[in-house]
Parts: sequence; structure tokens; C-alpha cells
Amino acid sequence: MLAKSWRVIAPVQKDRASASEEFIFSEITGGDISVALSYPATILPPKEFLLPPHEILFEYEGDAAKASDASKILIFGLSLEDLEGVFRLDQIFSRPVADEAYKKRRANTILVAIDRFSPPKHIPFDLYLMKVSEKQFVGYAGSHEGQKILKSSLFKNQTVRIPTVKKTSDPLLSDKDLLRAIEKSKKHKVWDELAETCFGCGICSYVCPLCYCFETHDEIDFGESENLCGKRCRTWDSCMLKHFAETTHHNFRPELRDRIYNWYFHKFVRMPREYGFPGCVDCNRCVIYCPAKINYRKVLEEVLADYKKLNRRKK
Amino acid sequence: MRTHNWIPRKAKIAERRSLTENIVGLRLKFTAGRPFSFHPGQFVMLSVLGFGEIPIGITTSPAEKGFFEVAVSSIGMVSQKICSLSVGDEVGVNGPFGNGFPLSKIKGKDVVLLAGGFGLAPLRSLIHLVQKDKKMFKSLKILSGARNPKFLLYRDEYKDWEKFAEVYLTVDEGDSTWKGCVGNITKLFDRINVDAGSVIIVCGPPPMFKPIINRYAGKRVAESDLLLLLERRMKCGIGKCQHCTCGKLYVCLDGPVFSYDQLKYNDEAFR
Repeated sequence: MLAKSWRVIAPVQKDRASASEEFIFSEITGGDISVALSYPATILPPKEFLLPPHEILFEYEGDAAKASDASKILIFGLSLEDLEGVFRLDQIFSRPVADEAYKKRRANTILVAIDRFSPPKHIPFDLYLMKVSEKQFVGYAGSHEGQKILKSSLFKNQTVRIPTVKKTSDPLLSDKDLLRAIEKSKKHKVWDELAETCFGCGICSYVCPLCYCFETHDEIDFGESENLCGKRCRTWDSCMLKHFAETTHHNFRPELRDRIYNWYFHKFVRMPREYGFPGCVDCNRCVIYCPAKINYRKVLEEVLADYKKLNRRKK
Repeated sequence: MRTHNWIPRKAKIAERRSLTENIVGLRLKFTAGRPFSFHPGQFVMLSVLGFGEIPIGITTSPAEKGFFEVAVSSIGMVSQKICSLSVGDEVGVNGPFGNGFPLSKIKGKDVVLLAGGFGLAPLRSLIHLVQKDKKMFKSLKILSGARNPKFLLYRDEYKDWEKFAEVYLTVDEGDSTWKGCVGNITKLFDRINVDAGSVIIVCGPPPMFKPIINRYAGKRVAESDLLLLLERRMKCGIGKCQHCTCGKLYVCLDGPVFSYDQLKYNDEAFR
């Protein structure tokens, strides 16, 4: 029913034949695909639809350039963490200068979240489905579009007891010393140790809901037109990659150690200063997919503990 | 709220001249639309469709109406393409971006410009502004160094500049025509008097910064009055792509003009 008005994206099992335990957000086109209502974090976060891995910023033919269209999509089944990730990405791409390409996609996106927690007060959504039992969901509309879905035949009016289930904030990520600890840790041995095990592959950036660095490049279309046709595109990048800060004559961050530090610095120092929140929603994707089994929580805990120890000694 | 839609404005190359064997100066005029307003020291993202977009400093002042100029060094794929264009060809322009020089802060002061090679290009926007408003600074000294005489930018303009500024030049290696100073730009320091309370503005390769900082910062010149221009890789100009970050600063938003006290404890600034 939803697919009539939107391209519907929902979590599905990556490979049903092999009974894979991995899930992905995928476009639902036919009736044969079973949408997961309860699933572990998908491989890629929903950012892949708002800031696609390869995106056309504008197309041109001869003299005329036009911004590319964004189709109307509905992302179904976001967890509260992924919803929070989108909410933060929205703010990043609207301040201090708004990115039109992102804004356009986002304006054409409907978010339907599902989680066991009570609906969040500070995060906007179109529809929030609170799972109250195995087969029962309580729907909350957060927008006009959400209201429309809620009023459709998909939902029944019923009286149920709704518990209040609050998501507690993560004590590590909300530790008030974390920002200072990371900021002051440039010389900490942990970055040298990480550089010994990290492959510098950038997978942690790709799977992160809040890594958004990018490259741009031009593509030329060789078609029928007599005019030069092509597009300027944006693709995902990662600050972990060696050439990330390289200009034609100098690489400003050639050492892996410094690139690793910059990754943490961005998430836990630069982003909180710029936007008031860390670049992490604790979805654990970077831990699951890191080929070197690096766990950012252990890194943060070590740096934070050493910072606190040093501060105690100073007092 | 400022927005960025990525589609560049079209500008025509009105004039083109070789500044050195691999640096080209272009005068650009927008083909349509609103007048272009910018601060000296800002930069644009310059592009050629099918090739890509690169950050390039503006080299003329806002007092010059109807056009602006840039200097492009032919080293990467996009810059090589831009340098190969002819008068009448079109380029794309996004921007202006960045903070530019803090004019209200430096007005009425003794100003010393220190340029290393290509670094003279963005400083020229300030020189051209003074050319129109000669009372803008109490005094202006221009110190410019290059690898050899052929790499000195805007040589045909120095005579005009000498009407309102003291111009000092040096080259690492002289040739048969060169009668001026030979040696590093630090050699020129001994020839000038930097009065207390002066403002020094530096643009050039990063190794140039240290001797200047050591000699002047917090001594004859306040740390907040020593201004340094940084150059980084950039893909957006709006503080998103992350390529130009230096610790907590963005060169595209907070810079490219920084005061030394802003960068003093920033490990990533002086690489």
C-alpha cells in the first residue's frame, strides 16, 4: 500500500538463501520480500539514501545545468539509533551553510521508525511504531504524512496499555570529560598502537551513520547529443585513507596514526563543538565490520581513564 | 541561512596572461546574473565541466568592478585544463568562500606582506585594494621571494605598487638579468624595519612560517596581528567535505586567513 506513493526502503535479510544474519536496507518492489520488524543493525545505515555513496549533484547538457531530481522515498523500520543518526545528519547538512542536494533528498523522505522504546521527544519522525508486544505496535504520527499512514487501514483502533520505556543515555558517550580527554590525547600511545593493527581501509567511515566526508568528481556522458553532457558527482570518502588530505604538492596527514586520531577528533571533539553532539550513536557497526577488530569504546575508555587519572594527580 | 546548490555560475575568460611558465592569470566576467561581491582574501571554487572543481584564491580587489582575477598553477588535472583555456572560453564559479582579510582590524596600521612564490597571488587582492584607497594603511611593505626571477609573479605591476608601497624582492637563484637580492625571504627581514604594532600577513609554503613566527610573533608584532594564510585540499567550500580541517578549524570556513594565536597550539596547522 505504501509503495503506491513512495519508493519504499525497508530492512530485509541480505541473502535469504544462505540464511544470512546480515540485514540491509533495500527497496521493496514486490510482495515476496519479507520486511524485518526486528533485526540487528543493517550493514549500511540509512544515510546511504540521504547521502548516497554515489550521487549526482547536477547534470548538464551544453549550456544548461540542472540539479538532479530526488525521488520520494519512505524509509521503513529505522531503529531509534538510526533515527537519531538521521536527525544529526540533518543538522550537519543545514548548518552553517545548508547543502541543497542533501536538503532536497531529505525533504522527499518519510521516516518510519520501529523500536521498543517510547517515542523520542527531541527527534522528529513521520511515524514512530513502538513495539509493545510481539505482534503489537503503537503508532505515533510526527507529521502530516505520518498522520495519513496512521489513519489508513494498516492500523486498528484498539485500547492497549502503553508502558514508558526510556532509552538511557550512554555513560561513556555522555561523559563530560570525553571531549577534553580526546582533545588532549594527541600524543597518547593508543594512536600508535592502533596504527599497528588498523588497515586504514575506511570501512568504519562507510558503515557509520555519522561519517559524511566526501569527494566530488565530474563524469562525461558520451551520447547522441552534440553538446557536452555530463554530471558533477559526489562520492563517499574516508579520512582514514592515505590521500584524504593530499594536495598536488603536499600530504598534510600522511601518517595513519594521525588519520586515526583525526577520525576520533572529528567525532568526539570537532562535531560536539560545531553541532553540540558527538558523531556516534553507538550503533556498533564500526566494531562489527572492522577487519582489525578495533573497538572504539575500548579506545575511548582508555583515553578517558588516563585523562581522569592525570587530572586526579594534578589536584 | 546560506545555502549551497553546487551549480556553478558561468564566467567567461576576458583576459589571459602567463604569469610564469606554469602559472596563468585569468580575468573572469560573469555571463549573466547579479554582481559578484567578495572580500579580498576570499577564494572561489573554479571548475570546468567534465574535469572538476578546485579552490582558487581571488587576486583582484572588490573595488575593481565588473570582473575578478585568479591565478592558476598548472599542476593537477583540473588546473591544467583551466590553464589551457583561451579568451572567450567559459569556466564555472562557486563562492566566494572563506573569511578574507580582517580589513577593519588592519586599517590604519603599518602592514607588511610576506609572499613566497605563488603566495603573492591572494595578497595581490589586498595590494589592489590599497591601490584604490592609498590611505587604507599607515604604510605598506611588500616582501616577495621566488625560486628564480622567472617565478616572480606580476613583475609588470611592481612599478605601480612602488607608488604606494615599499617593494622588496629576493630570489633563491639569480640569473644574468637579476641585480637584486639573492637568498631566502628571511634575508629581506634585515633590510626592513618592522615597527611595533605592525600587522604581518604571510602567504607561502608552510616552511616559510617558522622563521617569521620565531622572529616576530609576540615580539614586535602581537600574535593576533601575525596573519597566516593556509592552503588545503577542498571539495566543497562550505565546511562539509572534511578535507581542509586543521584540528577544530576549517580552512574553508574559519580561514584561509588565520591569526597566529588561533593556530599556535594547533598541531595540524604547520605541517
